[in-house]
Amino acid sequence: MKPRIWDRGDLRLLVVGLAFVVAWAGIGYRLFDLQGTQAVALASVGYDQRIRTQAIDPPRGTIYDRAGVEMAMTVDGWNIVVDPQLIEDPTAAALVLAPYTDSDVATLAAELKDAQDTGSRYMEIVARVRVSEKNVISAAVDEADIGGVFYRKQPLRVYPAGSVAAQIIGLTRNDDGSGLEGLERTFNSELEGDPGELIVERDPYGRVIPQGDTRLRPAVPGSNIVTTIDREIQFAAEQALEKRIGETSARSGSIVVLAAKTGEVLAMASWPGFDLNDRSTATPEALRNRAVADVYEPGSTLKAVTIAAAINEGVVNVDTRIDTPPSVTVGEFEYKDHGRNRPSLTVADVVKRSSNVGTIEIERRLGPERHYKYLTAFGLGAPAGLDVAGERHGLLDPPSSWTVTSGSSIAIGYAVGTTALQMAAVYATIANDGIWTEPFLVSQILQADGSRIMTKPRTRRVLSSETAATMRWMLGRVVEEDGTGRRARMTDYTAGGKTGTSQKFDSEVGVYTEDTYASFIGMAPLDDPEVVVVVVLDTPTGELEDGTDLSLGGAAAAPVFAEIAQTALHQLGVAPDKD
Amino acid sequence: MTSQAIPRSVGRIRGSADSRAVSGGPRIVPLIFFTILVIGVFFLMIYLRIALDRTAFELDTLTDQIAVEESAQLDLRLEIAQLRDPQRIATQAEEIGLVFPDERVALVIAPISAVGDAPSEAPPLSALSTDR
Repeated sequence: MKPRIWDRGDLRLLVVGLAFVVAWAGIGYRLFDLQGTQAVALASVGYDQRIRTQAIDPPRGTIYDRAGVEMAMTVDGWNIVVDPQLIEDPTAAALVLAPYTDSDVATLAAELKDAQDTGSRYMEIVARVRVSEKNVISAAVDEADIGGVFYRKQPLRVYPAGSVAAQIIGLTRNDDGSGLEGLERTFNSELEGDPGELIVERDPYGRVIPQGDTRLRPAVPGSNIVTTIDREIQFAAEQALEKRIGETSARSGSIVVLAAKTGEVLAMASWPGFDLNDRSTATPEALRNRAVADVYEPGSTLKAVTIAAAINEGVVNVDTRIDTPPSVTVGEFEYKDHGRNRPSLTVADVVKRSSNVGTIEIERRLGPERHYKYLTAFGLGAPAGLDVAGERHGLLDPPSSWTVTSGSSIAIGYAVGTTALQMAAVYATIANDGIWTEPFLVSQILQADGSRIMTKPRTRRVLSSETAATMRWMLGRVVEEDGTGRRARMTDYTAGGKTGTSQKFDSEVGVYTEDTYASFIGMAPLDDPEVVVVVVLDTPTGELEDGTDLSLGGAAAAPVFAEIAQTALHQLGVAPDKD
Repeated sequence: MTSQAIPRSVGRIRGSADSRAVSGGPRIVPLIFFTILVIGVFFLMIYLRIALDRTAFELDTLTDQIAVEESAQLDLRLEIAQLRDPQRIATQAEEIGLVFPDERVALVIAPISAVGDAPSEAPPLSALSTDR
């Protein structure tokens, strides 16, 4: 008999053994699958479940005036919200919270009750209050022991000076805080900074795991902007403009105060204005920065360019006599002088008396090509370079498209469109020994890493130093020697400047109307000008006590120049040059 | 050979019996020491963990406090800027009856003479002397 190798018991043992082996092999395979093949993917899934990424908003940069005073800044604002379901007594809660809202106690209590009934879990009670006010509210809530009141932090953009320089600074959006108007918009990318993020590991209940993975990429705060604006001069300009517009019933107006030697914009006022902290006053009209957005025909203030060009080119000198008949006809158009002139005037007297006929004759001698060359050299027909939203180029056609009357019209400030800021730069060229300097509003950008970007304005020589000095002398006669700008005379400083009165063109009808732009552009002190001031009033009306028509630049705008220039020079610490 | 082998093995047996007899007592000491060490390390780890958590909590509290103080500082900066608002100052000045002077007198002060320069006029103190 053949011996049995396997008995029954051995077979059972084998089967059980194999079953174990298979089972353990299965478990082993699964372990290998989880820990080996799928290890990376599963670890990633687990990590994603534990990890939470939290965005960190960068604080928006501050806008300063030239003295380092905040004109726009971001502080912590707070929204006071409630969970109506957690409020036991809506009337008691309303009694505490109503004083900080626009609602009365009864209305707020009713609103809370309604919210409770509808099952709402969220109700905003007060939006965007400052930390000081939030502390007061929270103390009152704690004292009254009201449950269900929560505080949510939200950045709050505030403007400490309210309406001062409102059109320059501009606004930000309420939702994402990005710039909407003015410098807030122009320098939005610099002001907003880069958001950061905080990555932390949290447990299934959302709590931070203390020794878990934590990675912080800090937000880069927005850069700070330092403007060239002098808040005191800006305020004085706005006050003077508002007062004059009230006196003359003008539709609108603008003022520019420029540092003559550097091109810094010290003030830029527009009326109507608005309060930056009260958006309900920010109408489209009020938002308009008229000094750069309103294009007007500058009238006689542009004669300075024509005459400076002619003197610089050697076409005339101050003593050259120019025939000044009562009128001159160019093409089919007759140009007249205001009042009565002598048959001939020197160039200096053409400026002093603001003779249209004399200026047209000088322009004729200069010729269109050279005339245009100087107009563009003075920065007309191109943006002044301020980098402010809404800045306009103005209107200046090249000589190739001039008609027979274009040169004559442009010579006396018609058929050309300029902004108040462009004209300020023109007169600053004369004040600055013939060097045109690009006006600028932001002197430096202070970056989060401590570095700073300084503004370097473009400059170019337009007039010789001698021509500029001659022009200053002639413009001084306009103010100091009973010229058309005598009302611009100041008590403490000598000044020079030019009046401008241009009739407004009605583009719908195609004719010039009786409405005017009354303007005055001047500089002071005359020997070594520190400031250039431009005053433009749109359609001023009325009369002075002596019967002078207030629609004229010499009557309506010149006194405003005197007021602002004197204030600005005092503010800048310039010694008076008059006894 | 054999006579030498027996004493050697006896010696070995004796030796091992001796060492057992000797180490029976002293071997407990390292065991106790090791046990105490393990327990100590265990509690130390618990303590360190608690201390770490407490420090993390304190750090969080400090960070929150810094944020609150920074917020308050920003608010104060805003308040200062608002106090310097020319419009507010003008209104306040008006309320207490201040007006712009009709005529302003500017005093132009001559530059201070360089060190060593003799003053050209009598000093102000001598001009104010009472015994003149």
